[in-house]
Parts: sequence; structure tokens; C-alpha cells
Amino acid sequence: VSRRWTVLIAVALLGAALLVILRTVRYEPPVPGPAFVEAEHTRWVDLYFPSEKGGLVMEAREVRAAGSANEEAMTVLKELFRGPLSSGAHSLSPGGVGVERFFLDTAGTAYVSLDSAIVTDPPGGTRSEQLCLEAIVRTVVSNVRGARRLQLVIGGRVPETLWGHLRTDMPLPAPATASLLGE
Amino acid sequence: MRVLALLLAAATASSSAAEITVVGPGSRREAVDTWRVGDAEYVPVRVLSVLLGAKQLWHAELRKMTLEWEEGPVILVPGSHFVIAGEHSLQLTAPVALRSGEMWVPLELFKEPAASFSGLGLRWFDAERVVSRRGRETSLERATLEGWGDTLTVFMEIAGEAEPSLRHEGKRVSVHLPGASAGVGVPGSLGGGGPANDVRVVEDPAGVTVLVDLRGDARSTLEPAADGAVLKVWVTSQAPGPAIREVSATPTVVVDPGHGGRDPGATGKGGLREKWVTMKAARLLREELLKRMPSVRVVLTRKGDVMVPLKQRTEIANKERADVFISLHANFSYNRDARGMETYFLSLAKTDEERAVAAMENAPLAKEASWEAGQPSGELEFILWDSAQTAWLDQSQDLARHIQDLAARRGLGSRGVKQAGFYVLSGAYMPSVLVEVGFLSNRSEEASLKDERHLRKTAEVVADGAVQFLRRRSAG
Repeated sequence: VSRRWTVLIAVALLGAALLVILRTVRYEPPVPGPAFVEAEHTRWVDLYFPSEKGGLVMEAREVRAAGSANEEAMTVLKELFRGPLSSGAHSLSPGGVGVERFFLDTAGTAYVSLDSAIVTDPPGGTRSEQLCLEAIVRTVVSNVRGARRLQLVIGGRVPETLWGHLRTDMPLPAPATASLLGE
Repeated sequence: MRVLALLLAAATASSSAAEITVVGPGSRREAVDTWRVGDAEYVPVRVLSVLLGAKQLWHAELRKMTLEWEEGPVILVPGSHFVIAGEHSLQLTAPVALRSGEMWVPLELFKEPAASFSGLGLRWFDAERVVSRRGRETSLERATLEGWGDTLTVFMEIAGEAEPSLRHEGKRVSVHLPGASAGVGVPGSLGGGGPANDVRVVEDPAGVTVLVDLRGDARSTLEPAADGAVLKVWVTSQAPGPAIREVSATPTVVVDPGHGGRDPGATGKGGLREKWVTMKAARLLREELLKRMPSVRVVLTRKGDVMVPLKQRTEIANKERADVFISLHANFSYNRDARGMETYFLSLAKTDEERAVAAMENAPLAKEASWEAGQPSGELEFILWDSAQTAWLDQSQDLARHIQDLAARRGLGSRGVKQAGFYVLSGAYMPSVLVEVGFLSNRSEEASLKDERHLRKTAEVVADGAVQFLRRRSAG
């Protein structure tokens, strides 16, 4: 009798152990796939670039969402200065531009601080300067909530102009018209 | 912040500069010490209130001072580059300053061109370092001359009671108006004509003198006229004939070849640089202007391949008291097919509505600046700057239209009149335009811009447009 009980107890213990093992495996938390993470932490932004038709073109791009609003604005600007992905659009500065700081004040003025690469070897000409400035302003105003105008800072200083023509020593307003969107 | 910067600058770089003499009401003279901060020389605000006979009022809440004067208040804001005087507003290169509890104004306010544009009637005599105010009683409002063959007639329009006196010594004739001042529109030189090499108007603390330098012996008379006096000079014994028509004073056109030196501007695919195009075009424009209007004085902001800061370019135009400022540039577009000529004038904001919005949007900035940081109001800055520039916008647009109409008619590919916020136009106190003569990004237009015949044709269009504008303005 005792031998029979011993066998029964051993079988029961083995079954319980198997059950525990199987339940543990069954209820292990699922490992999230990469697509799931991307979907949770990205956003779409509108970037503006000079087009070969002479105006501006808008390029929608999915970017990784950052933490604070300032970090998000920095991300948008870095994407802008990475250049366009679409053909027919031009980079604002083919050599690349460093985005140093971003700050939005309570009055809606966005301060965008860039390194001096943006003034190194510019294409020149009023038209390209107009387009470059408007591309930056439109991109910031479109993507940063509360931004209504933009003050450019280059190499730590407020510049008189970007490339020698148009005033940048005061905040540039958000473009009121779509005059530069295509020519 | 700006006030703080100014105070820091004052602590490090200020010094008692020199002395000036203030000639106040009743010809009372007073020596006043000035104060120098960097390049700027300052005088205490009481100099201004003495000359204007104005009462000083300090508005602590608004951090501004008003001088109550008979023709409207003069508003001074510490740290601001603007001075508003009645309907006039003026942008100075140095800000109004506070020092030891007293307001100081840049001496620049008393000098030309600021003195003329302020409407305060201030006069500065550089050699004597004397500052006074234009007497309201007597002034030479207008001086024009007509020179034909052996005769010269100088018409002097005088406001107020005047007792002009004539002196004739050898080859120099002079008409002196004691205690008078020269009106804002009276140029220093009227040019020459007939028997005169040169006719000049000289103003000093004693009054105004019209000086005629003759080529040889001549006779002269001074005759009273309904609105002033007429000086007649003739070589032979014949009596001078009657005046037939007025000839306008010598106009001045300042031509600004864009870029230069280490700033090449745009560069075409073929290697043509904007700074070369603008220099060549400027020289041709000068030639064409002189062909059309021999009396015109043309001043170039740069003489060769040198870098001239943008601010300095309009300062030259202001200093020369130019009638017109024309900046020449060549354009560059990402669109390789873009071509043609376009003329810009300054954009403050494109429509009245946009201006109102711009002013409104400056209001929160203004409050923050004035209440928290002690800075001048951003709103006030905007309004002052805006009104200083608005006066010239209509005329600048008119000048731009003259040029572009001709460009269209002569097949230069007109892209029309446009507005933009050009830095080089924003400090000019006169009608001013920026002409884009063509696109260096277009291969065929780059080739045209290399060709002197094409550039001359462009210069002819700009010269004709400017001359048409000047004639219409002097007639109107």
C-alpha cells in the first residue's frame, strides 16, 4: 500500500511541477516587436525645402518623438538640415548645419540658434536667401505649437542678414501667404 | 539688457570727450561738456530742452522722457535708437542713454542728416562745434540758379524779415542773410552756370551766405522780389535779361554695387561673380546718369573690390543727402530657368492689415521688455522704425515702377516690382530701390551679364527710370 501511495504522490508532484512549468511558460509577458515601439514614439512633421521650380516644397517625414517640446523642435530642425529625401528639392546648406539651441518664449517667438556653417559658402542671391529663411520659419511654425515668429541666432549672435540681403536682426513673422509655395 | 550693456560700456569705455557751445534763445552762449562712449558722443538732454524752449517730463512707469515743445512732444526712451519728434521719427546709430540720473542724447541728433529729418530745426557747425536752432524768423527756403552765356541769375526765396546785403570783391560775389538759416531742401552747392564756376550756400552761426565764384570780371545787382531776392551777375555791360525758367538744384544719386571684397555674393556656373557684375553695372550706371543729367552727382558706395558693411552703405547715402539710393545686385535661384530683371523696394509689412498684426504681435514683447528688463518698449521700437520708413515707401515704389516699366518695354525680361525686407534699404532716408539685374543661376543670363553691351542696356534702363523719377519729383 505504501508503495502504491508513494508512486501516486510522485506522479502528483511530477504533474504539479509540469503544470507550474507549463503555466510559467504560457504566462510569460510577450516581448514587444519593433513595429510596436515605433508606432508609439514617432510623429509626422512637415519640412519645407527650396524646389528646383523656384519655390518651396513640403515634405512630410516620420521622426522619432522626443521628450520635451524643445527637444522635439530640435529634432525637427535637425531633420530639416539633414536635407530633403525627395528629388527636385534642395538642401538649405549642402555642407550640413549644426542646430545648437532652441527656445520658445511666452510671446510665441522661437529662437533658433545655428552654427556658422549656414553662412559658409552660401549659394548667394536674394531669391535663394528668401527661400532658405522662409523654409526655416515655415518648418518651425508648422511643427512647434505656439511658435508665431522666429528669431535666428548664428554662432551665438543675432545676424543682420543671413546671406547679405534680408533683415534677420528682428523676428521673422510666420509667412502669411503661400506665395513661395511653387513659382 | 541694452541699458545694462550701455552702462557697462559706459563704465569701461566712456570719457569726457570735449566741449560744445550751445547758442540758445537771445544768442546766449553756453559751454557744455560732452560724454563719449565708444564712437558715440553725447550731450545732456537739457541742451535740447534749452534750444527748443521745452519742458522736461519724466514718465517713470513708461521709462520715457517727453520734452513738451510747441510743435508736439519729443519722446526719448533710454536704450532706444529712436527719437520721435512730433510727426517725425528718427533712427540714430547710438541709443539715448541714462548717466548719473540724467538723460543724454547722441550729438548725432544735432548733425546732418538727422537734424534735417528730425524737424526740430537743429543746426550743427562742425568747425566751431556750435549747436543752435534754426531761427524761425528768417530762412533761405529755396535757392535756384539759371546760367546762360554771360549772365547768371540766382533766385532766393526767403521766409521772414530779411535784410540781405550784397558784396562784390574781385571774382567773388556774396549775398549775406544775417541771422538766417538754410531751409532743409537747400543744397550746399547749386553748381555753376553762365559766368560762375560755382555757386554755394554756406551756413554759419552768423547767418546764411550765397557765394558765387566767377570765372572773370563781372557786374552784379541784388533786387528785391515778392518772395525774397534775386541776384543778377553779368559779364558785359549789357543788362541781364529776365528770368525764363527755374532750374532745379543738383540732384545726388548714390549707387551701391552689392557685395565686394571677401563677400562675392552669388557665383554662376561659369564662375561669374555677383560682386564683379554689380561693380561693372554701377560704373555703367554712373556713366549713363551723367549722360542724361550732367548736373547729377553720382556717388558710389564702393570704388573697387572691397567689403563695405551694409549699414555703412546707407550711411553714405544719408551723409551725401542723396535724392535717390540704388543698390545693384544679381540674383540666384534654384530654378535654373529663372531669368529677368526685378526691382525691390523695402517691405515693412505688405498690407496695412499685416502691419496692424505685426504691431499687435509686438505688444506682449513690449510689455515684457519695458516692465521686466527695463528695456524700451518693443512696440514703440516697431512703431518708430515703421513710421521712419513709411514716408519713403510710396516714392520708392514709384521709382521701382519707372525702372521695371522700362525693363519690360526694352526686352530685359521684367519680373516686376517686388517688396522685401532688405537690410541695405532699411536705413535709407530717401527713395531707395534694389535692382536685381539678372540671374547668375541661369547659364544664358550669366553669359549676358558678362557682356558689357547687355549690362549697358540694363544701366540705361535704370538711369532712364531714375531720371524720369527725379524730373517728375522736381516738377511735382
